Amino acid sequence: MKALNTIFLILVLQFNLIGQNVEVKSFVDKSEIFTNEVITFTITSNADCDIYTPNFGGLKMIGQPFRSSSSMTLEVNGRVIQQSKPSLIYQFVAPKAGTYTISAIRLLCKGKEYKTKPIKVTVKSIPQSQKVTIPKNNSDFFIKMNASKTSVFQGESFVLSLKVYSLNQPENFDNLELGTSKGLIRNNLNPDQRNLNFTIEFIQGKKYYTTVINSELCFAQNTGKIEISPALVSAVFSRGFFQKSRKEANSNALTIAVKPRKEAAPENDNGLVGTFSLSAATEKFVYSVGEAIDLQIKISGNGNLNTFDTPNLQVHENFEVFDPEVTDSLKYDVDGITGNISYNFVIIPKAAGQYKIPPISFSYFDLDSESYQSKSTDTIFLKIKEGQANINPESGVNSASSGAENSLSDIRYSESFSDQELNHNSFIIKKIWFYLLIVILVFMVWFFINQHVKNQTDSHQLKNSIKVSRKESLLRLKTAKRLANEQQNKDAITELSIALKSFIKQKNNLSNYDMSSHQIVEFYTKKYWSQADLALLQNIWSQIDMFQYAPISSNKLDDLIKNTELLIDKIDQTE
Amino acid sequence: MKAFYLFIALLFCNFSFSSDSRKTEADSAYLAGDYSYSLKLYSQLLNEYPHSALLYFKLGNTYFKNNERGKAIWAYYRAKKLAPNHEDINYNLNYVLNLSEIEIESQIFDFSNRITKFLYGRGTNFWAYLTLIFTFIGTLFFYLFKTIKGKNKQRIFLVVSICSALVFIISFSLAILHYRYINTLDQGIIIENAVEVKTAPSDNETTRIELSEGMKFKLKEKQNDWFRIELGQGEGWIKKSSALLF
Repeated sequence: MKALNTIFLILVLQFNLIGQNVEVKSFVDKSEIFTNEVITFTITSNADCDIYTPNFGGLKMIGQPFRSSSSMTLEVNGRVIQQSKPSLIYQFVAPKAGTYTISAIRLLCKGKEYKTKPIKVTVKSIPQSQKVTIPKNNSDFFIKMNASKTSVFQGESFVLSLKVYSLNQPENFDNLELGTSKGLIRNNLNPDQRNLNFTIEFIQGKKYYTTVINSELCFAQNTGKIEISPALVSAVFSRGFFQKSRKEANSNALTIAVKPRKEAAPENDNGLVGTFSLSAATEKFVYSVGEAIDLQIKISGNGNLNTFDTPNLQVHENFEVFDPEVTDSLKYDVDGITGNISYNFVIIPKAAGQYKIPPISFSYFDLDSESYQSKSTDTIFLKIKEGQANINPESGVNSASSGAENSLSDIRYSESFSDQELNHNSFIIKKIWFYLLIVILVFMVWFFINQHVKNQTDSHQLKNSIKVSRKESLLRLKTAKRLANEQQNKDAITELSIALKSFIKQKNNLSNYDMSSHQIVEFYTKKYWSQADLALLQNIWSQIDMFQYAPISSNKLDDLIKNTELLIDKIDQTE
Repeated sequence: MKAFYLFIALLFCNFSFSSDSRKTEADSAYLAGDYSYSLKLYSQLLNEYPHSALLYFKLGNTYFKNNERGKAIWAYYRAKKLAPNHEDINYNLNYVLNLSEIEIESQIFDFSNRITKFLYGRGTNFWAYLTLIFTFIGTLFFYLFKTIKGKNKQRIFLVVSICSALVFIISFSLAILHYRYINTLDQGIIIENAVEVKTAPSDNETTRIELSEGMKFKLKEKQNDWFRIELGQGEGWIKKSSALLF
């Protein structure tokens, strides 16, 4: 549709913005929604624009679009400019699941057309478990308690949320009593939540203001069924300026089935469920007696990390072990607890010798494989030399040497190898790609040379055919001269015509359609012929054409033959 | 062209030794004096990286610390074969040979050593990469020779492409020779003390000479559990288990 349907004259710039670039933009607040969930589509520009009728690809518009504007003040070269950036905002819902495309929006700004990018919106059906049915007795204000999973393994995390549905937007909530439960560790995901953002949802054709009032990350501790009793929420609504009303609603109750783990728990099971890794490290391998060794044991991953017990460090009796300093970096969110916990042990060797810190291991229940997995640290080897560090005489340091020390100065223990030397562990001449690369290079050259030779051959053939044509036309000129001497003027003119025209045709590779006097003159004009030469060409051409049907005197014919000869020379010299 | 770029990328991609935690563990075990564990780890790593001079060098150090001088000398020789110019490898090899009172290779072999160092001391894939580079140069100049006009230019392009072809042949041959040199086990080291050299491959044969741990020999033939070796002017048979080849 080419007709311009102006919907709005949207933007008015407050001050002169000459030379400013026009920017148009469109975007949606969510690219993935559920059916009947409201999506907001915004078009912004910084110039005075008209909008062509947009195509929303089947999304259903709620109400009329509305305008909003943001403004800012700029100082350019000492001049204060106030710039406003108005927006046009639409709200939609998708009645069915699928992919919808809001096509590119066309805007006419300052006489020039601009286009935004098309936007795709994916609409999914609401899962059966999350489908909301409106209670019959309390349809204008009700609460729904949802669990992200209703069947979990012992220790597995899930999210419990409370969602409020209200026909009128509540002013605030003055009471929230969460339902009680046994055998469930509950962590509030937004303990500091103050402001609630309402969104609009359409349920069974009715427009509801909804908000998630509370979310908790839960871990089931016992197997069996866990009952979560209904929560109570009371909300305050304003009626006019002074009047306020209060409404209360109870949520539904929930039952969570907690499955036992399929295998018997190993001895070193900490009750962890999720995916984890474990590492242990010291800063170096060689220490002196009395020197503090920092041993860091770190567990990281995703799951109920907070239940991990302090690792049981078993070291030789010649080490004094202090309680670890525990630091953690844990994030609680809907995916569980993610992050790491570090246990920093300080151990002090009391005697020289060579020691091992044996691996530390633990088991956890892996949800992907639904089985127990075990993680261990590497063995750490430590060499303790005779005391150079300050030794505390009260710490009971044993100065006896193990006697196992060999001097390292005899042979060289080199780390001076370059990475290249280290990496020389495979011969590329044993690799197929090595030969393939050579073959490809040779093939490419063969191919390009072939192409070149072919091109050369084509131009060579063309040159030869021009040569032959030149010879032919010279022969025809001779014949024309002979015929002129024999007074056969008409035949001479015919020979002359063939000599000239066939040479022009061959030389320039022209078709019969291009062989009119006008086109040939035009052709040689493009070849930068002088006006005199062009006039000669035109003159000879017209004389040949004319005297094929009219008598010609011998003198005139001789002149014509001479001129044609000159013209053919000229044509031959032209590239 | 895409395939060409892919191969160029492959050519220059880093065939890196992944930061294997076993290497760190082996190093720390060595430093802590747990040589048997360190040997176990280095041997495992060598199965995966059989042409790493560094690993053979470290294996040699560990054998030496573990008082297995014959094996240490063998590991150093193996490392030297892979990286003949490396100073530390040569130093440690000479150190252990001195300590074992084994004569260090005489100056007669100096010239062949220099040749070996020159030809094979530039890295495992030096000649292979040179082959690829000169394939590229040779084909490029041959293409220019065939396509660009001008006798002088053509002459230069032809000379360069012929020279590149020669370098290609030489470097490719050397790459193959280098590969064969590394993978041909034609020498060995005695790893046990007082190994008897028999006149024939049998325990009942007479003993010609006794060899001490760390001595080097040339392998002439393999037969069941026996090696026919050449040592100095003489020849004889030793048991396979008493030597390691490199």
